Amino acid sequence: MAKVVLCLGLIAASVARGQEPMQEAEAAFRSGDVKRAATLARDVLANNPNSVEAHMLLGIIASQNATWVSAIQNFEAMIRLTPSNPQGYFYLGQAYLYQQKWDQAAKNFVLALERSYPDRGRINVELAFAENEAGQPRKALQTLANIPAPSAGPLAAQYYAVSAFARGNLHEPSLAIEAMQRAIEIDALNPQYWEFIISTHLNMNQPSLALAEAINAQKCFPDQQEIQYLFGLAGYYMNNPSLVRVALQNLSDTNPGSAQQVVLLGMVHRLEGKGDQATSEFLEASRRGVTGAHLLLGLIFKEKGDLAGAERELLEAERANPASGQVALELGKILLGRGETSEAALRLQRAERYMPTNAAVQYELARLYNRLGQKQKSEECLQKFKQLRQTDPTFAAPRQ
Amino acid sequence: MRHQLEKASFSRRHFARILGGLAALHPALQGAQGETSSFDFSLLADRITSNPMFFIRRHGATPAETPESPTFSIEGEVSRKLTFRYEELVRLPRKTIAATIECAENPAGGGLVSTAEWTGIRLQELLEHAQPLSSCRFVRLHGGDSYVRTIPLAKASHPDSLAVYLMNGDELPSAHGHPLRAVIPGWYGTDSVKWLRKIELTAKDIDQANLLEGETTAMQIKSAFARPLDGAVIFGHGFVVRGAAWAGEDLVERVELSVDGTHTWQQARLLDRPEPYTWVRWQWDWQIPVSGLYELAVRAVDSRGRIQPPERDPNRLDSYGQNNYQKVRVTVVWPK
Repeated sequence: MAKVVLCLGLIAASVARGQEPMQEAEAAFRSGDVKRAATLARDVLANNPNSVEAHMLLGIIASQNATWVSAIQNFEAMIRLTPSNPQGYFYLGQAYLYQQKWDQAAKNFVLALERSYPDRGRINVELAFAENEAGQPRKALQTLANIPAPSAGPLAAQYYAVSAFARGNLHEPSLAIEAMQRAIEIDALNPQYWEFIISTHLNMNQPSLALAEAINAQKCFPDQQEIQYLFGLAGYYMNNPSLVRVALQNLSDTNPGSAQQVVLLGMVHRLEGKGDQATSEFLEASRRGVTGAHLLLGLIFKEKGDLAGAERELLEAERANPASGQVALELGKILLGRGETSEAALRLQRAERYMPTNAAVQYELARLYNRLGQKQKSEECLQKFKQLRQTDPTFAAPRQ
Repeated sequence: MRHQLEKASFSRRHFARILGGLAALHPALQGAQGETSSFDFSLLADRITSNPMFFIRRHGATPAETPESPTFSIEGEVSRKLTFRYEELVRLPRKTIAATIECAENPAGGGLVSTAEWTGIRLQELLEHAQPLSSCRFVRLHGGDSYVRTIPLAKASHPDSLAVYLMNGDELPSAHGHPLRAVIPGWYGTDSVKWLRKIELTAKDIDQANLLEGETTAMQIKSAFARPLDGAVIFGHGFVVRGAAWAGEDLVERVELSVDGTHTWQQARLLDRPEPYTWVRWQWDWQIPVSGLYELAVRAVDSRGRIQPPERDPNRLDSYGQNNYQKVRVTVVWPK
């Protein structure tokens, strides 16, 4: 995305064009002859080290090649030469964004904005993205609120996607899904948007909704590894081995021997009642770095009565995915069982944020508050539990 | 359309059939409680379709469950009119066959087709009990939903034509004809009457069920994509294309793929041993030469040399037997 913006930025940049070799360099860049463009720009700089245009072009070319030191040097030179020009700050912010240096990216975007960067929509979306990733989701939402929501095009989709990411970080999964659905309405061809929705449904313990989205997504993106994996995961939580087999087959076609494939194989074994084989596959997957395997192992160990093993795996799962309501619930149950009420409360309250309509969460909260002597709160949770268990399918049919 | 109408040699039967097709397709003309659900080809993994994923096509309401002990009768041109209780039927020698059933109106690439293992009693055996008269030529299958279908006695007497009570080893689900349905393998689903209550033997084809034209009887050779499907976005430089092909009573001989607007064809690998009645899964490894838009087409050839046509015959005014090539358009995107 940012690469395209860099190219467009070059075309749109309001920089003076006086020297013929520089124009030639830009023309070469636009025609795709990047090597020649870089040579010509370097020639320009040899004659005039203060050429802002040459620094910009070389910085953009370096960014495209991910040679960040050179990119940053050139963008910093632009800023040094024309400190009032917002372009240098914008490009520098993008260079940091690409390197996931969120704070520095945000700082430069703000400086560009202060210098009246012309494309306010674009830069605010980039700034909000950086702020959210830097751990400031609320600030990100405020930044987005500074501009009218774009109505069409990739920027509009990105606007809603960033909003969804921020809502996710604020533990507002329903609003996050709503925002991401708007992003998909505008741009259905970005697999990451689908991945977000499916993962969020899974984190909210809504496997049937996750599966419905995943079935559509796997049709749209048949060779996207993450989509196929999430499809398999949703099939597993719906106790449907044939769907997990489809995902496994698709994943094998796309990336044979992947660690995610090992997880799915374990799931098929588990759904077919081959517990030991499943455990062995999940252990292998966890050794190979699949973080999702920890939750699966945690559930298996818990079933076997190995609570210490279960807790160890669930803590790993929590480290990998702090937004998982299910992990929080399972961990909360174990901690409550052991009498660690404050740690349990932390997890169960988080589980409630992620799974507000989950009956089991309310039941565990009722137990927690009862244990803490907070009878009224306990009673409220119990009432919620009684209401929710009528409609919560995951409560009626506990997952395997 | 007008041109087609002018070209067609019209008859009352044709007209009735067209109306029948429209009524089946148009929701406003369907029975209030009709139901259609397709098999999602993107979920094809095993050769056998699980019961919940098996397609459903029902034009009216599911008939009310029969009494505790449902009965089934054989009458008409027979020496002995018979009535069986369900419990008696299931005690008779059973036979299991795998068969793909396709709705006669399934369009190219449509999911009104699935494969199951069917267990039941041979119709032949039931007919023998009733002793058909020598004048008997046809068998009328009566469903509990008032649907009636006539098939030739010869097909009904084929050892693979069954009165079925188990689907993939489980009790026949309600939507698939519980407690008993016909399975006439290799013929379109329209003949596999659900909720079977009565078999009537006749000397004449009372329903004039197109038996002479063969349009809605034996299934055509046909193939379908499981992946990629229309509109898919592919990011890799290679892609495993998968799907299924079926040929009714015949065997699928080969499946071919085109990625260049049907100019050239590549042969796919069959993943199952071809057998009568049952689809085979196929696979083709596509090495993608360049990113961009592609139109993929699939066609199959059977052991009788039948090959799928590129297009639907424009003179066909009904919606049956649509076995032209399936085409899907996909976008291949290679990130720079």
